[in-house]
Amino acid sequence: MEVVEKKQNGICILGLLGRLDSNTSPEFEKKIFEVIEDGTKSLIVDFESLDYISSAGLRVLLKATKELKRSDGKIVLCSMKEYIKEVFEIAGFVSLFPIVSSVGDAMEEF
Amino acid sequence: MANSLSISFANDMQELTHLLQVVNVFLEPRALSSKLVYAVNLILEEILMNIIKYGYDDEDSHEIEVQIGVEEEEVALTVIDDGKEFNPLTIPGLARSKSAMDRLEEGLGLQFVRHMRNAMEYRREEDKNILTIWIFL
Repeated sequence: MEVVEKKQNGICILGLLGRLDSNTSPEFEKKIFEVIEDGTKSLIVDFESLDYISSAGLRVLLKATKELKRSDGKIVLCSMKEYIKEVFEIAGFVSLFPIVSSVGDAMEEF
Repeated sequence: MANSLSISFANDMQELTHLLQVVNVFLEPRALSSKLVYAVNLILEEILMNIIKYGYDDEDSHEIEVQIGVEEEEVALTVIDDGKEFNPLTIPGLARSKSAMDRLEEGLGLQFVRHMRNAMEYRREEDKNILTIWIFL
């Protein structure tokens, strides 16, 4: 798994590549919390190149959004494959995160 | 091309990653849909992670066996472990009113399994959990 960080118009974009599973989610957790501790309040997580997520990855996103909400920040998720979006629906996560179809649409959410 | 795969691995998270790699090498030439390959990976990870995390009271190494059979109309996954007796069929569904955090705490992974499988059978034999899950193509 790889996490690519970009900054655009004051918004931080984390692009995920590969598999976010029980083994790689600690690495993603470290990265997303670093970004939050650096003061980022507007965060986009781009799923375009993510092939796989399990409950371990969802857990990290939930922890991160709770942390960001404390400082009035927000996470927007984008470019998810249909089968990945389905697990967000099963988990009831669609009410916790705006999920949009592209990074461009995600930028509009802020 | 063999229609089935049987592998044993130790109850260790690193081994789990290796096992899923072997499974994907087995599935790859079969031109299955990405959704199905995803379901197989997710079901195996959630079931096996649950066994590794909660199945054993000791620190010893235990063998977990995974069998995969691909037929024309279905994929069958069987997991055999010598951990504590655990029947995933007895886990109740989650109330819609529960918060996302409660859902995670109450075994979200197993809810994924429940949602993605078409049939599931559990039996306890000779101190082993034997769980078979079918996904229809």
